[in-house]
Amino acid sequence: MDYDTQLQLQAYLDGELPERASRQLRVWLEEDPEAKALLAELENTRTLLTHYDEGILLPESREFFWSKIEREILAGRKPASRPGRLSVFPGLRYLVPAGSLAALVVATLLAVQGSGGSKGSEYEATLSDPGALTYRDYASGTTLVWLSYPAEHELADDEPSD
Amino acid sequence: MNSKPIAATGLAWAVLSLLVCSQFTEKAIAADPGLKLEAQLIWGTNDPQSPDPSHKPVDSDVLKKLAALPLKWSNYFSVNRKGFNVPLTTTCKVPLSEKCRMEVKNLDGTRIEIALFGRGEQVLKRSQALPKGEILVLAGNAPNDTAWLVTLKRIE
Repeated sequence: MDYDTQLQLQAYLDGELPERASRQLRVWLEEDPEAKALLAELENTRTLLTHYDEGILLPESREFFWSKIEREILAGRKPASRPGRLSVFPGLRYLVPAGSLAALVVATLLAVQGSGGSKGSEYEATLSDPGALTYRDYASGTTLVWLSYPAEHELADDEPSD
Repeated sequence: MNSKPIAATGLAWAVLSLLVCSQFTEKAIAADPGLKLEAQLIWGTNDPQSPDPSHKPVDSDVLKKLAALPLKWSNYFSVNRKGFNVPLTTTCKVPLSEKCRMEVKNLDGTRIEIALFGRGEQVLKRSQALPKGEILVLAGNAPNDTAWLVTLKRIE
């Protein structure tokens, strides 16, 4: 399926095709399972993006929300001094550095062990064509990135001629 | 006055913590053998044989993974195959054909950053984890209803 045809499918999905072209495309969709599958994929993607773009509704007014943040910022500027509090329980003075040490050790261990199976965010940036499709098969541990670019002859020059 | 003992103890703990952390990190870096990877340029077709006798059918493990993908080709021939090692945080350039090459960076011992170039132009840059046994396939259409594929597999 060439790039123009894929664009036609996208236009059909967006309701941008004239009625006659839409009718022809519907007939073609009935006959071509690949096109049908692509249309379904495009619909799924649009649905996902629609949900992703859903706004977050605050349970309070905008002004109240920002005033809370402002109060937090202002409260953070005040110096907090509590002299002599730790002296009531002398053992507590060891808990702070000990806790810090424990946190550092745990963080280090996690960082070292994490190199065996960390799952960071995966990103993708297709520079020449935004139409790269990524497919992940978890069962076989395979990731496929299908590129509409380089189109036809770019990378495939080693392909044998018949 | 308890502030000075607390500060001194805190400083001592902090120094000790940094020493412990640096020991762990040094050991982790020193023990890193790098990522052993294999890249392949593959031609996908429905023809039973390649007209080029130098092309060999891909290994069964790769074939099995390609067969699991929603691709319409039944036969895959290896055009070029390169094994290489990428030490931690370094980038390895892997030429696969005259016009196609890839650059693979070992980000943290598990994750890689891969850049694919066609005719010297970068066409894709992507980062992902690549555990042993998993495979990354970059692919596109080729003439006569065939396909080109670049696979990247982690060996060790």
